[in-house]
Amino acid sequence: MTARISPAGAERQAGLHIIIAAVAYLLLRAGGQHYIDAGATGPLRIALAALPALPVLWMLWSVHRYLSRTDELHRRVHMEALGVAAGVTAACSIVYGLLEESAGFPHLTARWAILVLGLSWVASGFLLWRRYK
Amino acid sequence: MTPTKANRRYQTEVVVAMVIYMALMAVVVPILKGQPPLSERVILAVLPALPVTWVIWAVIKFLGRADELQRRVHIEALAIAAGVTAFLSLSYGFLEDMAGFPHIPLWWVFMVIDLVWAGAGCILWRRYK
Repeated sequence: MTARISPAGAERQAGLHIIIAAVAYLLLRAGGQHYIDAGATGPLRIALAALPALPVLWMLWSVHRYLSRTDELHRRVHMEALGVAAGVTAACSIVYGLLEESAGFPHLTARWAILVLGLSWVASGFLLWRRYK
Repeated sequence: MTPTKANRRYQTEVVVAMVIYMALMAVVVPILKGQPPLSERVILAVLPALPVTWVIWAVIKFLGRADELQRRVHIEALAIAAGVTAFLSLSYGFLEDMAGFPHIPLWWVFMVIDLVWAGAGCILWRRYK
């Protein structure tokens, strides 16, 4: 069972975990790129490329834990903002996917989706928070 | 409007929008293969996004009219879809950039969001019932 802590405490803890995970991500990304540039091949190359996904998984887990520990208003705002972000990302990805496939627009990697998701999460969270306050 | 009516209307709108989407794709793709001028290609490529926008609008309307349980299930399922999509798109992005995995077009992100949303919605619905 998840321990109940104050919303402020849950926010602080989640913020700290996300910062540590972001630092771990940057280190793993830089380290992985270094070894790949040095000539890593085969399964080692795949493992080095996949390693930065681990701190991302930790970030997502921290968000989940934060949402299960925080109060009803925070939870509602974040969940709704995530829902809006999923919708915005779905719309943007289908439009750009069609432009990329059919209109010759430059290829973008799937990593762009997380940027759209993150920005729309923050923006819709901000707007929803103002609405509920 | 009652939650049941709202649900029926939402389902009708989604089915109609998806039929229009498939019809547009069937018309647009062969024309695009003929390589028309860039401006025409852009307009044709964006056209199938219109019924998708309608689906998103139908979801927003439905969530405003649904009862608290339906609303909760859909919002939670969408939040799960956002998390899973974030993880998968970032992981595959690394594999594509650093390990030479094949490029996948961005509309796959849309497919992943839809599939995870539907799957998570079914599981959550069974859990809450």
